[in-house]
Amino acid sequence: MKRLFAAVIAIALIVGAAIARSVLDDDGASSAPVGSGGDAVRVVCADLLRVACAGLEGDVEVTYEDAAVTADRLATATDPELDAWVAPMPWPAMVDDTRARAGANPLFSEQPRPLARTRLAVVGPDDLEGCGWRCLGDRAAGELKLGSRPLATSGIGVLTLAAAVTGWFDGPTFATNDFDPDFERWLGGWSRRLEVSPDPLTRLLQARAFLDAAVELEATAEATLAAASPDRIAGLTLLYPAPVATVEAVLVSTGAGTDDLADRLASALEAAGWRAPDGQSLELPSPGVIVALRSKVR
Amino acid sequence: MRRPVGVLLLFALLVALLAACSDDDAPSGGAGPLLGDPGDCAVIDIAVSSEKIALLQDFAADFNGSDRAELDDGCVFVNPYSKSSGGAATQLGLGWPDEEGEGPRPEVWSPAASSWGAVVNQRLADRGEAPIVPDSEPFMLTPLVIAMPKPMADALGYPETPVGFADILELARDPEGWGKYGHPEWGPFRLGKTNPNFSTSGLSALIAQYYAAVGKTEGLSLEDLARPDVIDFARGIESSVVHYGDITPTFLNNLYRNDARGASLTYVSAVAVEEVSVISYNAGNPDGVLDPGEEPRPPRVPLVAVYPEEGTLFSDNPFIILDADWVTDLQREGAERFGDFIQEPENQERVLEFGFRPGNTAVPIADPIVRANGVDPAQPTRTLEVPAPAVMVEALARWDAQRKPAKVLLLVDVSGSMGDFATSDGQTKLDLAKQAAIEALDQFKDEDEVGLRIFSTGLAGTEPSDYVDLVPFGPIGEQRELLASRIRSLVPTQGTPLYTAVRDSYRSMQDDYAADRINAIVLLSDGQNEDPRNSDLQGLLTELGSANEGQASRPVRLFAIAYGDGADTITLGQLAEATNAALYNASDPASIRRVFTSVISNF
Repeated sequence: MKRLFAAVIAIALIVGAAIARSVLDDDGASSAPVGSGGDAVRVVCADLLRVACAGLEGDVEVTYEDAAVTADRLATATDPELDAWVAPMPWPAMVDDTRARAGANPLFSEQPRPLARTRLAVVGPDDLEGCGWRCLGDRAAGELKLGSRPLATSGIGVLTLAAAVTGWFDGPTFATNDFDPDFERWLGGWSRRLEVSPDPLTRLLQARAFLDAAVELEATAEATLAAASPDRIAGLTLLYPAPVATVEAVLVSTGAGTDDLADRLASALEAAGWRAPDGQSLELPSPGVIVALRSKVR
Repeated sequence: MRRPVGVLLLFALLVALLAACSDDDAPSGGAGPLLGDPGDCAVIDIAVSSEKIALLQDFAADFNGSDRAELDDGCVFVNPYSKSSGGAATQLGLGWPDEEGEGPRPEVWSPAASSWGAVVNQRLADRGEAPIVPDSEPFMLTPLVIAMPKPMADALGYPETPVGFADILELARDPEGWGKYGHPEWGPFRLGKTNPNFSTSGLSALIAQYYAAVGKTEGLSLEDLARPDVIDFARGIESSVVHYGDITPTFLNNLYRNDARGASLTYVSAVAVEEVSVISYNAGNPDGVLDPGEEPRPPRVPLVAVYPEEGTLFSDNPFIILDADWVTDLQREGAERFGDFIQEPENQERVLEFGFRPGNTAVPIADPIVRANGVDPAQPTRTLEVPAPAVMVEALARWDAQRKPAKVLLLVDVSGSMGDFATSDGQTKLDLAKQAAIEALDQFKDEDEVGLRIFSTGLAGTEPSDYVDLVPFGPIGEQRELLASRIRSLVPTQGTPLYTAVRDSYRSMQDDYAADRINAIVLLSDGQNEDPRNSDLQGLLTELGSANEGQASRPVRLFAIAYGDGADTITLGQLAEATNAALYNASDPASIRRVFTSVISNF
């Protein structure tokens, strides 16, 4: 009889624990933000902003991919299958620009919410000091082994392309009909010789034989250089080629439930070395021009 | 048996707590020790290039069973196993059809260089299939160098005088040899190369060779490979090759043995190897693996790593989680954990201890990568561009046609023990060996001359009675079917007259030496010498060794396959080493196909 009693108690404890676990799980789920589809909020985060989105994991459904990949998908999508996109400008504007040309409705009716800014930098030898984007293009067409992410198919690569061309035209106020044969030769000269890598700065630090210089976001470059051993960074300097290009991370929404994300994303970026947005010009050409440049180097 | 009520309640309470605090599908068993029982953990097979297997197994020992191997959906157990980069690339390009012979189909692949991944994707694309090798981070690096005995590097004036691939290749084709540099006693310039279908340094050296031929450092094209002058150049280079090795340790072990006899300068003049191999060799551990009881003993003549003037290629050791449908989410997540684990600074320090340059840039490039060890941390300063995948695939295809032709005697033991059963379905050792040998015939190129001799006591009615030539030498392109037919008909007979068969075969190869070919014997034996008429092993070793020494030598390499668990591996190893060749162990009869492939890759 005693054994029967003990067994009943044991079963009751197990069932109780399972119920308690179930309640705990339910509580966890109910506290998560709900998106427009009634499920958890779906956030697509550009790879280069992973540091911002990592803190959202668990609360919302986060997917990481390159901004260029997301942009290509959204350019033709009828259902974006996301509630928010964390991306660098001007990618969201480029998506809507492309959609508008195809006769599709814009996806992002609200203005992007600026989160943080950082500059586009080059890590390279001291003798590159004072060498602007146009000069870098000239030298990369020759002996300088300049590392970059893919120009047409990566978020930073397209921004690098835009910055360099802005250097050629000495400012961002140019249009595609300004592209003349001299420009075409210059662009083709260095873009074909660029050393493409998923992580050019790390590659530069791994062996100087690979690269002479690498394009990277200032915040990322500062952190990488700070973590590197002294022998790896000897003779290298963080440079800001003129005209200095600024990368701005933004949050754009297509649905509900994303209101509280911006502050968290901004804080995470600030902790990672990004600066607060200041409303100044990014010194980049218009979205339509960047779309055209991207097509040109594909 | 009565159990106290209190114990039962305590047990129930424990179960209840576990149910509340852990996931429903948590494993019931823990991960075992290194490469032991993985329990209920998901196994992640990792195909690893041979030079870093010891390192990866060290990492696996620390990772398996640790908190890092515990994931929300279960635990994982990583299982690194050695697989040549080229061999894995071939298998992955075919969907890994032969797990029994080639090892488990991996979820993670770490070849020596990323270029192999491009080769796999290209081969899949050629078959209309999606790529499975994504871009991946390298976790350690080592550059391709030209390893030369120090006196030879000094004779070239290195490092004060830069030396490039083009210089080495020109010297290799110069009939004056070392006489041009005031050292006729070193004989001709002897080049050691590994088979680019299997070895990363072989593939890198092949690419560098083509760049040297066309005078470029980037943009190698299909048109370049097809130029008549480039084809002539390639054939000239291949003609100076001592023999091909399946892997670089084959050369370095032979060089080390020659060094012990004070003869290192006459075996090979230069070998394209990775920088890490120079460090290991100079430390007295030529193959990078210390066997039980082995202690590192620095060589008398150290090697110098020559960093080619034109630039070189890196083995970047990517950690590739395959984009394949057989990789589960749990395995992928576990693999990412393991990938992060090996990038941690303390583990990257271990990478450095093994002589590789750490991929994590927080770790400095330091000892043992120092000048005192024959290497230079400030080098290389330039790289050669990795060609487009289609160009690499074409280069490999052309190498098959351009490599130095071979003259090979297949010397097969058909003694009675070859009739022992080797598999549960009744196949004998000889059955398996016949299948493997027939398949291996396809690896020879048509102009290779191949003959077949079998041996067993009392095989023939007349003298010599211990062996019979079933197929005389001839271009295999004309007698591949005949060879296959004769091999298919082999049956086990009597005893093993090993020494007589080897001695007489060696002498006949010497008599009919073909100077423009790699001359070799492939000996397959499962037993020990059983011939009371000839038990003079020492005399045989002396004869084999002396025939391979001196400027006027006519080197015939004897590659021995120790087949089955009864093979005399010690003696077979001595015979192979006496000819500067190598022993291949096929103690597991199921491995014979893979072993045959490795052996044939020496030609």
